[in-house]
Amino acid sequence: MAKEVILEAILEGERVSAEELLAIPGFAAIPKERLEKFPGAIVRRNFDAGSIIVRQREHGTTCFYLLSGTAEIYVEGVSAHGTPRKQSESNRDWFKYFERLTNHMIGAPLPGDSSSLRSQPEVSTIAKRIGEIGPGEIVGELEALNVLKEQKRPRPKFYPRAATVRAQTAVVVLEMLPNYLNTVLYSSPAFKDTLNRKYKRRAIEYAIRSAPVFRDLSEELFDYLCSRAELVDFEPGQVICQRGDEVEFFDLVRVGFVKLAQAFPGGELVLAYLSGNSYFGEMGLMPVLRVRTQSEEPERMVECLVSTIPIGVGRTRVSPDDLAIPFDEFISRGNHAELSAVGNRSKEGNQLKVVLKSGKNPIRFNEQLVDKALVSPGESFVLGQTTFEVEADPLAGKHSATSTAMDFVQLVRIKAEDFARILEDLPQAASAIAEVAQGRRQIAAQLLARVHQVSLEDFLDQDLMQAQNLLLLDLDRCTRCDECVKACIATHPDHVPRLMRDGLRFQNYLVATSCRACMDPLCMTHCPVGAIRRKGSSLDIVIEDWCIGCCNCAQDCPYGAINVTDLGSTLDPFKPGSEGVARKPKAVVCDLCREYPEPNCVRACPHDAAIRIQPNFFFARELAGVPLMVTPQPPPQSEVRAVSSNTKMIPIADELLTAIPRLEVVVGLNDKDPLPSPHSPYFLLRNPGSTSFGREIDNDCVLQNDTVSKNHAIIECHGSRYVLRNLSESNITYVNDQPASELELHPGDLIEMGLVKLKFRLGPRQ
Amino acid sequence: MIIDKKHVKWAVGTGAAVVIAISSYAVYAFLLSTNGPRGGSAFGLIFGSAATGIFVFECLLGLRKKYPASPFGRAQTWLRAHIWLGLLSFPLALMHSGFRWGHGLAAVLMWLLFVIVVSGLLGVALQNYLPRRMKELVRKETVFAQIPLVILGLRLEADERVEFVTADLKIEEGHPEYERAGGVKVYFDPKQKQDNAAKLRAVVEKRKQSSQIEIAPDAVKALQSHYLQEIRPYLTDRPPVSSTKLFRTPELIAAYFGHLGKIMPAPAHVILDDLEDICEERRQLSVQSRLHGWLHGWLLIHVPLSFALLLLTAVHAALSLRY
Repeated sequence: MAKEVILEAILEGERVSAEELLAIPGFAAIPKERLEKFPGAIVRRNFDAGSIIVRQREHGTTCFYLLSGTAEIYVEGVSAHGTPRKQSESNRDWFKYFERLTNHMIGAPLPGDSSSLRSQPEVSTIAKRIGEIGPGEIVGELEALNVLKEQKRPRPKFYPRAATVRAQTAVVVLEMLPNYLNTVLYSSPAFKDTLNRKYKRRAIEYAIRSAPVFRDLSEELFDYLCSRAELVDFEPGQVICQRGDEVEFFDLVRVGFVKLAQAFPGGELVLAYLSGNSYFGEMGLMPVLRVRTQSEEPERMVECLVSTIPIGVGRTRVSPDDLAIPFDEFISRGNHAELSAVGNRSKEGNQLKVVLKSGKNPIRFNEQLVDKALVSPGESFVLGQTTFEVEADPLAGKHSATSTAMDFVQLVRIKAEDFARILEDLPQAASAIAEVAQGRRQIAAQLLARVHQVSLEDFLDQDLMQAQNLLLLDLDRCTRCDECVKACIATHPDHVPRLMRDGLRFQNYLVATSCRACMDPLCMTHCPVGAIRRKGSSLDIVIEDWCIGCCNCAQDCPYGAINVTDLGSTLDPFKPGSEGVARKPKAVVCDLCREYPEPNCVRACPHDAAIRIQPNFFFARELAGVPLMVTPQPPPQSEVRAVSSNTKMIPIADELLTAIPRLEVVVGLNDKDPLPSPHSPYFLLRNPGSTSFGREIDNDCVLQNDTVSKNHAIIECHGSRYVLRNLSESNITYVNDQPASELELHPGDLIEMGLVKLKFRLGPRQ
Repeated sequence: MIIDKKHVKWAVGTGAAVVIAISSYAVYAFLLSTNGPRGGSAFGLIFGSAATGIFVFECLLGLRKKYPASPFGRAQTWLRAHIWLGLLSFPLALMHSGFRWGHGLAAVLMWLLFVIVVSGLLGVALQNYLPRRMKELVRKETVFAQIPLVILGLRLEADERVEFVTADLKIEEGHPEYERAGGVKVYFDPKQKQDNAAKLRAVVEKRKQSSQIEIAPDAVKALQSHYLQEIRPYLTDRPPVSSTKLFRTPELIAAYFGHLGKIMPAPAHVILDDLEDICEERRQLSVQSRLHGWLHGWLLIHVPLSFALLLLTAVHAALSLRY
C-alpha cells in the first residue's frame, strides 16, 4: 500500500495545504512535492481540553502530530492499577435477604458472588496516567507503524490503540494516514531517526506499564528496565525459542500472538496462545525443585514440585496445594513444616528452604535437629520418620515449551538478571508470577495426561477429538422441546443462547453447536485484547468483559460456537463508577455455567437427552464396547483442587513427553481380535491413576482370552513408578517368567497374563 | 420421556401407593363407612386433598422449567414425578368420589382428569416412539423454528441452479440477506458491505444475462417449465397439493428426476441432481414438521385442560366445603 498513490483520502478534519505544512518546523525539511503527494491524507483537528483524542483498545491506524497544547497519555483496562469496584453493602438490609432467598430458589448465583466472571477485580477501568506530550510530538504512531509492517503480508491485521490520549489543554493536531507517515515524513532522516527512537522507547514503556505484574514498579526500576529492555520482532511462523533452550529473557508480548506448544508422538499439543500484555519464560527463570519421599512402598511414594510459593507439609492438608503425608504419625496434622524454593534460576543455585511450623518433631538435616534448613538438590532431610529427597528440576533455567510467532510478533525482552532484580524488589510480583507459572504447569500436565489416555491413532484424525467437552443430544430421547436452549437463555443475563440444537451427527447423537473447549483453541489466536482465554487451570474458554467485539474469535472458531452480539457496555475509565457510555458488540461463548453446579442445558433437559462428555473417554469406551459412562462435569474449582491437592503429582512435562507408558502386545489375545484396536498394538497406561486388565468388559484394557481372569491385574502409576498388582487368586501374573503379586515394572519387562504376553514400554514409539 | 429402568422405582412406588390407597379405601368403604363412601368424609377428604396436591405439583412443572438452575431437583426428576404422580392422581380422585362419576361440576372434573391423563399417556407414548422415527426419517433435520428460513434458502438455491441453464427466470424475490452467487452462499446486508454487494451483483447479473451451461433451446424451455410449474411451487412454506403428491416419497422424487434426466441432455444432469437433493431435503422438512406436530400437539390439549382442572378443583373444594 505504501507504494500506491492515494488520489484522495477522506479524513475528518480540515485539510492542510503543503504551504501550511512547510511553515511547521517539523515538516520544513520535507520536499514540497512529497507533501503534495497525498491530498487529504493529513488534516488539522481541534480538541477541547478534556476530550479524548484516541481511546485505548479502539481500532485506528492514523497518527497525530501535536501542533499546540498538551495531552496526557493513559493506560487502562487489564493493566489498570485502580481499586476494584466495591462489592455490595451489608446483608442487614431485609430486602437483600429476600433477594438472596429468591435467588437461591431459582438457582441464580448470589449477588456479588466472587466466582462471577464479571466481578473480577482485575477488570478495573480506572486509567493510570503515564506521561504527557507537547507540541512537536507524535502519538498513535505505534499502530500506524504496525500497519505498515503488516501490509507486507496478504492479510494485514490491525492492532488496537495501546493507550488513551486525552487533551490536557485545548489541542490542535495534525491527523495523518500511516502511509503519509511512511512516505512523507520518513523521507526526512532526522525525523525518521527521532520517530524510531521514540517508537522504540514508547513501545517498551507501554508494554511494561501495561503488564499487570509490573504494576508496583518504582520509577527508578521502571526507567532502568526501559533503558535495558530490547524490542525484538518476529515474522509469522518464526520459532522464538525451542523447548529446552536456555532462558535468557523474560519475554513480554507487545504485539501479535505467540503459540506455546509441546510436541508428543502423534502431534503437537498447544498449551496456550498468548497475546498482548502476556508473558512467557517465567517458568525457566523461577526456582523450582522436586521433592519426593524415599520409600519402597507404593502407598508411601509421594512427590511434588516446589516453587517460590511456600507449600505446607503435614498429615492433612490445610490448603489444597499442601503436601499430605497421612501415613507418618510423627508428622503433625496441620502444617508441620513449610517448603519453598529459593535461589536463582540455574539448577545449581536453587535450594529448598524447609521451615518448621507447627510440627512437634524438628527437622532432621545433616544429622542435626534444626528448625530450618536449606537443602540443595541431591540432599535429603527428614520430617517425622519420612525422608524427603530433593532433586533439581531438569527444566530449571530452560524453556518448557516451544514458542512460535503466529503472526507479526513484537516482544519486549527483559534480561534474566534484570528480571531477577524485579523479583527481589517486588515480592508481590514474584508471587504473582510464581502463581501463573504454577497454573501453567498444572494446565500442561492436565493436557498431557489427557492426551495419552486415548488411543491416538484412532481418534486424532477426527475433529471431535480436539474437543475436551462436548454437548451431545441423544436423538432417540430428544423431543426437540428446546428446553436446553431456553435454559441457556434463562441462565445468562444477556439472554443470548450459547448453544444451537444443530450440528454433526455421530451414531444416534447430535453434537450440538457449542464451545468444545478445544485442545488447540483456534478462537484464541487473533484476539487483539486477550479477552478470550483460559483462566487459571480451568480448560474452559471464557470471554472477559473487555472484549471489543472485533469478531476475530467468531471467525476463527471452526464450529460456529462463538456469537457476537450487540450487548456490551463500555465503562468510561475517566468516570469510575459510571454505568456505561455505549453499547458495543461483544462475543459470547459457552462457559459451561461456571457459576452453577452443572451446565444448565443438561440440568434442564426433561428427557435425559442432553449429556456433556469428555470425548476421549466417551468415544474410547464406546468403541471398546464398554457401556457409556456419563461423566458429569465437576465445577472448575474442584477440578483445580483435585489436581493441586493430589500430592502424587504428574511428573514434569519433560518426562511425560519422553515416557508415555504403554504395554505392547507381543503374543496376541485371540485369533479374531489379536490387537487392542485395528490400528494400535498398544494398551496405553493411565498416568496418574491405575489401569485394569482382565476379561471383564468393565476393565480399562479388555483381554479377550479365556486364559485371562475376569479381573486379572492392575497397573498403578505413582509418580514415575509403575507397579503391577495381581488381582486374580487362581491365575498368576508373571513378570519376566517370575510370578509376581506386586512388583514395580521396568522398561522392557515381559508380562504374562494367561497366554497373553505384553511388554512394558516407557519411551517414544518404536 | 423414554420409559426406561430409571422409572422402575417410580413405577414400584406408584404401584405401592395405589395398593395402599385401595386397601385403605376398602377398609373405609366396607368396614368403616355407615352410609357408603363419600367425598366429604375424612377418608374422602384425605384422598381428595392428596389428588389436589398432586394437581398443584403437576402444574408447577412449567414453573420449574422456567428456572433451569433451581436447586429443587433436576428437570428429569420433575418430569418423572409428573408422569407417575399424575397417574396416581386418577385412582385417588376415584376413591375420593367413591368410584362415582358424579354429576355437574364433579362429572366435569372427572372427565377433565380423564382426558388429561389419557392425553398425558399419549404424550409419553409419542415421546417414546417419535424421536427415533424422526432421527431415521429426517436425516437433514434442522431446528423447527428455522424451517421456513431453510425452505427459503432451498428455493433461492434452486433458482440459482436453474438459472445456470436458463439464464434469468424473471423471478423477483428480494431477500438481501440471502444473496447468492455462483453457488457460494453469501449472507450479508448489502448496505453494510457495499463492495461485496457490488461484486455479488456483478456475478448475479452475469448469470442472469446468459446461460452458463449450454444446452439446446428446447431443453432449456422444458427445464424452465418443469421447474416453474412443478418443482418451485414445492419449495414454498405451503406447497400446493399437486406438488406435495408429486414429491411425497423419496421414490417418487427419484422417479420424477429420473424421468427428467432422460429427456434432458447430459450437461444439465448436474443441475438435476442438485434439484433432486433440494426436493428431498424439502420433503424431509415436511416430514419433520408433521412429526414435530405430533410430538408437541398433544400439549395443546393437556396443558390448558390441566389449568382448567386446577381452577375447577378449587371451585369444587370451596363449594363442597361450604355447602
